[in-house]
Amino acid sequence: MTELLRTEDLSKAFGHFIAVDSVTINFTMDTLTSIIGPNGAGKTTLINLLTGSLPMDSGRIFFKGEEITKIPTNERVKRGIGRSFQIMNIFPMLTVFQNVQIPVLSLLNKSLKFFSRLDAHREVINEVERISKEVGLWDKREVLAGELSHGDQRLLEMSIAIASQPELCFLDEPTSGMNPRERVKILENIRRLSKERRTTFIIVEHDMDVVFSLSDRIVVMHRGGIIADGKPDEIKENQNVKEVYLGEELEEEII
Amino acid sequence: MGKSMIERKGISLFGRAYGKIPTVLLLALIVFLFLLPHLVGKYVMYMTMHILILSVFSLGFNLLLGYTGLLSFGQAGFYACGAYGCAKILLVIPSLLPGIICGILFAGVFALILGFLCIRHTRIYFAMLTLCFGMMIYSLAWKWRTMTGGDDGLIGIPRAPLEIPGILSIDMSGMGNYYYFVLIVCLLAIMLLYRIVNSPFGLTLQGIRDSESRIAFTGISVKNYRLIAFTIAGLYAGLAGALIPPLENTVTPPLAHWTHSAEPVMATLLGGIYTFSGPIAGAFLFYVIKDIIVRFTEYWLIWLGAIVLALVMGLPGGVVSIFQRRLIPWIRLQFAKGSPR
Repeated sequence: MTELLRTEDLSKAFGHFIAVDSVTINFTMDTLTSIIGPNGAGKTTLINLLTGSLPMDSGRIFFKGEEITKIPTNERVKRGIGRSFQIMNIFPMLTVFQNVQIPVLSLLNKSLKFFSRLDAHREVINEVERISKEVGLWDKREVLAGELSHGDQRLLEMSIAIASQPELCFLDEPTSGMNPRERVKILENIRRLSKERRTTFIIVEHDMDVVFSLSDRIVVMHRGGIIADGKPDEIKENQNVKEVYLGEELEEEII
Repeated sequence: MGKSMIERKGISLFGRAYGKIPTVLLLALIVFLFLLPHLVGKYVMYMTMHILILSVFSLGFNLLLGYTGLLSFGQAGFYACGAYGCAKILLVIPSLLPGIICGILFAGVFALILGFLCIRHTRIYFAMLTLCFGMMIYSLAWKWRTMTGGDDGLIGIPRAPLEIPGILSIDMSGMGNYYYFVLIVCLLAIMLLYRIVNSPFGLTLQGIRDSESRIAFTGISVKNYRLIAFTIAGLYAGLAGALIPPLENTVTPPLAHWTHSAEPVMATLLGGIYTFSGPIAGAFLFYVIKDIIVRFTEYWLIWLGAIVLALVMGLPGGVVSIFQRRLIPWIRLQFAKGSPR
């Protein structure tokens, strides 16, 4: 398996609280990985460090063999790293179409065109149309993003993330707050995009049904460290995970 | 298409949402402005020039506030840079174009330098930094007597002719010719900015306004884009300032004072932040309201402040929102009723 992203002794503390504790991990291409753990385990902080949203205290990060430890977020995106956020993060005052148009313009190096009309770039329009149709938001392209339903906003956020054509995409709780129908829709999209676009997704998720149905690999975090890492079946049987993190609750859920 | 979307997307959607009505109204307004010197006296012409200049000043300011989400309280500093830069040149080279161009560039260079220091911050920190830098420029204008004339300012600035060697030479000493110069320059500046805000760059700025963290994950360098927007706003403030010395024949330090920075803020709030035309409508209202109030009291700012407050609370979208929500749809309806089937 080709290595995509690797960390060495990644650490981050907020005061005395150690959020991420010497994490060394690698993510390989085409392996859909879920990161799970109780609240405060350090999952979102780990993603923030990997994507450059937060500065790390120590450690190193490599993407496709090149060190990206000190590279800012926007440069990491250009190299092929994308993400969605735990708390909804879209452009609420712009339409669905414009939300997807922004990353596509950036991808095609057209964001700094000062005097051209927005509809002058046919390739941008086509790409936005393609992505919007792919995720099922084309019919709502003229609606303001802030006025979409929660589920559609989640889909839109994922569309923005994939519009940059990342090789590696982090999705932070992509199904949170969704009803079952919306959840199915987003899971279908993740599976399809993962195959068709060959985007490697890394998902932080609390819903164990989602995690075990979707993942090729599961990483379990607890108190800033990794306590288990393996295939879903291995994680189900991992005594450490049952005792330290999931307890009886998960046993009931997954058996 | 939801109604609220049309309301909130401003005039960029006028064409699609309301047909040709705004274009017709706009053309009528431009024709009226060109005919104005034949219809009115010097005072109205003088007022109109100030409205046009404040429009340009406010549009530049709104590129920061309405499009990028940055509230600057220091734009008067760049306005003064434009005014002093133009005045200094005109006192040495009595030719209008070099004066105006140097004023704009002088303000642009200041905006680029100060912007580099300001755009690392947002919200109140950005507002306070711009306020401080604006007041530093005010202090320079006040204290650097050898260069700026101190509290006396620079006086006796000529309304120099518009000259392009070998091509054209137009006398500007009369109010009428200078009015046309200001009108054409301002219209060009407005059209240019309209193109910019409706370009990929303009859309990206709106993305920064909506979500700075999201835009970074589209591969955009937020700081660089903010710096460009800040510099463009500075250039527009500089242009507005550079048009003042030939009109008033003098420049003084209060041009850089923070209270002068409040003028584009008020004009933009009056007209509407999230519309391109809002600052223009606001500039018109600002001068009309001011002109009426000063006839009755010297404390016109208190009354103007109260009116702005009432309008902001009653009409959060500014007066342009009345046109968008009510007037233009109503006109369209009347046209639809009257047209043969």
